Amino acid sequence: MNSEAQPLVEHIRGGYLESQHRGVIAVCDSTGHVLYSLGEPSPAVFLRSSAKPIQAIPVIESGAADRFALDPPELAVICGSHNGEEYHVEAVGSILRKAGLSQAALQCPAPSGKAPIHNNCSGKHAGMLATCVHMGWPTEDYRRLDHPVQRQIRRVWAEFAGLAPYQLGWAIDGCGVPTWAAPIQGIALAFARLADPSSFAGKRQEACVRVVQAMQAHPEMVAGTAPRRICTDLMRAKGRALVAKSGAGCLYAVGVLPGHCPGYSGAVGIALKIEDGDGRGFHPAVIEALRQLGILQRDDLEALRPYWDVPIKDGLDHIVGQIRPCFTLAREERPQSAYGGGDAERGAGAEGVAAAGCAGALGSEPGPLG
Amino acid sequence: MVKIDAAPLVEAVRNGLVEAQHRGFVTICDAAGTRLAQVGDASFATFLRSSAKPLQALVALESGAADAFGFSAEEISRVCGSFSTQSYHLAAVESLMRKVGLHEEQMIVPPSHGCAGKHVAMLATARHQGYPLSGYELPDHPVQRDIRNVIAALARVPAEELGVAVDGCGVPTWWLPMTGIATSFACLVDPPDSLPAALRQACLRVTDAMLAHPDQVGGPGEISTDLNKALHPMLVGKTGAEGLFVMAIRPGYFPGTSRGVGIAIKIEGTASRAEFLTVVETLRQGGLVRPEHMEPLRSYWDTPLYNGERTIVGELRPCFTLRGEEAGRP
Repeated sequence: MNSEAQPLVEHIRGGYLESQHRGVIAVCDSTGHVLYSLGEPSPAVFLRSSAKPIQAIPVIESGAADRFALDPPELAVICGSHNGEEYHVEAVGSILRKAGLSQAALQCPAPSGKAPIHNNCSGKHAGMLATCVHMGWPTEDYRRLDHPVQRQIRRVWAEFAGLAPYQLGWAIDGCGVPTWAAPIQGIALAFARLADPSSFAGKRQEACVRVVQAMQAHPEMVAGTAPRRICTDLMRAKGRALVAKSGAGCLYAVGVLPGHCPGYSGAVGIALKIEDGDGRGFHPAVIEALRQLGILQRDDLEALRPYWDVPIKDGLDHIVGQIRPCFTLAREERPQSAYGGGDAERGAGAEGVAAAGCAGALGSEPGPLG
Repeated sequence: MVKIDAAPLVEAVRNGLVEAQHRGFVTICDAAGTRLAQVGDASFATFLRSSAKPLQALVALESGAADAFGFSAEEISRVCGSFSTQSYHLAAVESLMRKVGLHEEQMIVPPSHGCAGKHVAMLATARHQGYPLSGYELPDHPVQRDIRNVIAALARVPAEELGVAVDGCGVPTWWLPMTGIATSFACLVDPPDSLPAALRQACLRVTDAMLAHPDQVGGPGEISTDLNKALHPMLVGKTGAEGLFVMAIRPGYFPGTSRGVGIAIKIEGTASRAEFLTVVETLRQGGLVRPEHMEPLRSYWDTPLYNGERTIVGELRPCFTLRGEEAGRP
């Protein structure tokens, strides 16, 4: 994400600027029009865990979720980066049992002193494995880039982002499976489409609705309550208005359902990335973006105060400064399509994105998928 | 807020794609305030935080307090140091307290605090100068005014232009441009004749103490200590919170000048991983870290990114080039 990032958050000590964090923000509608942007659109942002709600789509679309009778809390934990609380571990264990797998199949790194099922990504891994079992694919090597389950996820993510699969950059994520990179506006577009899937075929529409409803009905499954987590609290505060998912390195993606973003009747996707990946200004920036868009009102802000009211204290617990957002989202006068081309329809702008540098580290072209 | 041009210094690369980028500033000046090289806007100002400690220590030496109470070189190094993980850190602080005749309750931090040596030196100066001990942490206390004036003199910044706020340990911390920060450290190793003789002598004694006792400046695995030892006797360096690192390079080492230089490095968004890499890369580009020095400093520049299974999935790497100034232009 070597783009012209803009200052998003300042550290103010005693009235003076001490440090600041930059970043980029894109806000898209579900047809791919960029409604707001801050900073030059960056060619490649790693999705990390923000990928999960869309990585979950093939679990439903393939028929695996129905075959194994996965319930909404289980779907939500597949979309989540959970705390490893008891109810999270139970839900992931249940997915594995229903798919006839043992915990050893997960192949995710074990957090210190705990079993791998406590890894925050274990739900995602269980979802991938359930798809493999249902499709008759091998489960031993499901983390490989060229495994059919990963190629399917890459194709689905590319479709959500309005790109060809080979335009998604890739790398190995913290938990050992592939992670994908897309332009910031592509991430916003993907979440807008998750919130309003009407441009997709019927089966995918249904999968999107089930993912959104599961996350909204069970926000504690997406992150957790001990410790408190922004995704859970944001979805608790905003009920049916949105889905939200954080990603490592300070990426935040939000899908706002139609009618919940003032000034727009349709769905809106928001993607925000802190350039240096530093978490201190991350939550204040996310809340501020949602506030400026009119999605969070006064009552919501009060409920979410710990995420935006971040004083700097000295060792004696005196407040000596404040971490505060310093950006203003400006509405695009004439919304452009996500990838700068004249055609804002799905799939547009493939050449534009490749030229913008997303093709930096691309794998082989995926072949036909099962 | 005025737009400040921070330069990309370090990037995190995952499988060939830049995942994160750390921006910041590198400013190199001599003691006259002449800028020799920079990356990013050298007018950026920030707080000295703990990088101020060698400068704050000067007041205890210049006033005669350190000699009156019999501070050893090792104890002076502790006054300039941070961190308090080791028994020898606490032993030095307790010895200082005994020499000054201080009780724990007279300090706003406990003796085990990483800044305790600095607090003892402030109180020693106050006692020696006949200032009240109470309220030594307030910006208008005479010992803090003395410190402010010394920092202003070394940095060549008018004292009234130094910003002030409360540091993590409760005492004032000072805000000034990168050029001033670099210039002040150049004075530590190459004090100009324009400074009073007692202050010039204090500068060299602080440097000598830090050079002779690097373990008191930081500790095991701390970059201040490791750099000092690996490149001895070239430099002293001091970390500060929020991504600041400042070095004083003794005369005769920095290419293109016979003078001592100060190097101020600030990561705009704070990140130790980027700070350490920038420090080593700045010294390398400046011709100060030679190949034989690289091995003892490996942990600061050999920086792969691992995933949860300790598989290497990327790396952190510098992405800046030091830009020299035309000679003689401040």
